[in-house]
Amino acid sequence: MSEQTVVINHLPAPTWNWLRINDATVAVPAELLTYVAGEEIPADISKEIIDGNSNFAVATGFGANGAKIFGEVGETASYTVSGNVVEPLRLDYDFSDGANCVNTVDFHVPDDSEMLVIQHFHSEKNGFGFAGVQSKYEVGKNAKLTLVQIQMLGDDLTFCNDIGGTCDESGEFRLIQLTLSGKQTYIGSNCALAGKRSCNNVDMAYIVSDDHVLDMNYVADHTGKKTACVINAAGVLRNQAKKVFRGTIDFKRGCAGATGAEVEDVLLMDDGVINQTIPLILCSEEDVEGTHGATIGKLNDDLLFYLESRGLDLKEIYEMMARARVDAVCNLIPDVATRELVENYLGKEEED
Amino acid sequence: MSVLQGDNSRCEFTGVTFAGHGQNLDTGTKVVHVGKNTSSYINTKSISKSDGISTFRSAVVVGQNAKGSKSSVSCESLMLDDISRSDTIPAMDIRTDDVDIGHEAKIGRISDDVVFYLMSRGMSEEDAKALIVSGFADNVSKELPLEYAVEMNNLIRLEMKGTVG
Repeated sequence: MSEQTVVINHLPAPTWNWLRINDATVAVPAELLTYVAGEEIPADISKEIIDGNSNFAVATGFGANGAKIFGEVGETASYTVSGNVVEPLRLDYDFSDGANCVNTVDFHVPDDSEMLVIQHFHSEKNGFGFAGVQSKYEVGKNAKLTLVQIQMLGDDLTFCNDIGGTCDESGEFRLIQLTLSGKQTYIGSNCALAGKRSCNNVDMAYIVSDDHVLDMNYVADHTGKKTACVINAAGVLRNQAKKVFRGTIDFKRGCAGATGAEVEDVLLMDDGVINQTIPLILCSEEDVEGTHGATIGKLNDDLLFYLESRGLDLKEIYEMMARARVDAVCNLIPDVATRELVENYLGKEEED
Repeated sequence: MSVLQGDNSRCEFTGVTFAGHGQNLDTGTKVVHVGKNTSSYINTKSISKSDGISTFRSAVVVGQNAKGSKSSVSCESLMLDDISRSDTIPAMDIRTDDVDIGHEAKIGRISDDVVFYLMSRGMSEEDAKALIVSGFADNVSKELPLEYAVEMNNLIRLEMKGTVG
C-alpha cells in the first residue's frame, strides 16, 4: 500500500537538527476512510454533522500539516452543549478491524456552560493499521471543557491524536490523557489562551513498552492577560521504548500577568529506552511567571532504601512506582466508569 | 561543547547573558556523556532589556554506556521590559536507565515588592533595580576572579542606567 510521509509536531522554536527533536515524521496511508465513533450523548448536548473537515479555524498541535492527515475527512461530528452538563459525552473508537481511518470532532462550549467529553481509543491487543482523531474546541466565556482521552491500542497500530482550540475570557480547557499502549503514537495539542484569565491544564500519563514510540507536542499559547497553564506529564519507559516530549509555554506580548508551569517526570525502567525531552519557555512579555522542570531517570536512592526496608524487593518497588504515575492521573478522571475501565486494563496487563 | 569521554569525568558551565538594545544573544552549551559516572552542571542566567533578545539553548545527551551519569541544568531569565524577548530551549536526550537528570528553569521580572523595600531603605529606583540584577547574576560573579567580578557588576550598573523613567 502506498504511503505518504507527513512532518508534524514542529517545535515552535527549533533547536539543533542533529538532536532530531524539531519535528516528527509519520507514515500515513495514501487512502484513509472516515471513521464514525460510537457515542452516548447526554440530553443537553446536540450533535450536528458537517460535510468535510471542521469549521473551526484554530491551530492544532500537529501544525498546518495536520491537514494532510485530516483534510480529506468525509464528515465531522460537531457537539454543542447548553448549560452545565454533568453527564459525560462518551465517544468510543474501536479500531479493531485494522482499517486505515480518521475521525474529526468539534466541541463547542458556549458562554457559562460546561462539558465533559470522554474519548476511548481502543483495539484488540494485536490490532494493526493506522488511525487518526482530530479534536477541535471553542470554549466560551466562563465555560469549561474537560476532555478525557484513554488510549488502549494494539501493538501494531499507528495512532495520530491532534487537538486544538481556543479559550475565551475565564474559559478553561482541561485535558486528561492516559496513553497505555500503541505501536506509534503521535499527540499534538495547541491551546490558544486568547481570553483574559483563561486557562489550560494538562495532566498526562503514559506507559511505553517494547519498541513502541510516543511523540508528544503540547503548546500553550498565551495572548490574553492573566492567562494560566499547567502541563504535567509523567510516565514510564520500558524495554526499547522511545518517547519525545515537547512542551511549550509561549508568552506573547500583551499577556501581562500570565503564568505557566510545566513538569515532566520520567521513570526509565530498562537500559534500551530512549527519552527525549524539550520543555520550552518563549517569552516576549515582562510581567509573566514561567517555570519548567524535568526529572528523568531511576528512583531516588533514599526512597528505594526506605521501601526495601519495608520488605519490598526492587522489582516490586519499580512496578509500584510505575503504576503510581498512571494512577495519579487516573484519579483525576471525573467519571467512575472510566476510572474502573483503566484500573481493570492495568490489572489485566500486570497479570499478563 | 563538552564530551565527557572518560569515566568519572565532569564539566560545569556557568554563564550570564545581558541582551541590551539591538542585541540578539543566542547562547548555550552541549554536553555529551559517554563515560561511566560522568556528571555535568549547567547554570545560566539571562537578562533582557530595551528590545534585546536572549536565547538560551542547551543539549544534554547521555549515551547508552554512560551508566551512573548525573546532570543538572538550571536556567533563569529576567525580563526588564515588555519590548524584549527571552527564550529557553533546553533539550535532553537520554539513552540509558541508570541516570539522574534534573532540569529547572524560571522566567520572570523584578518583583515590585523588592524594589519598594529597597527604596524604603533609601535607594533610588535605578540603584535598587541595578542591585537586584547584580544579585541575580551573583552566582556567576562569584566564579570570576575579583577584578573581573567587579568589572561585571560595573557593566551591569552601566547597562541599568536610564532604565527608570
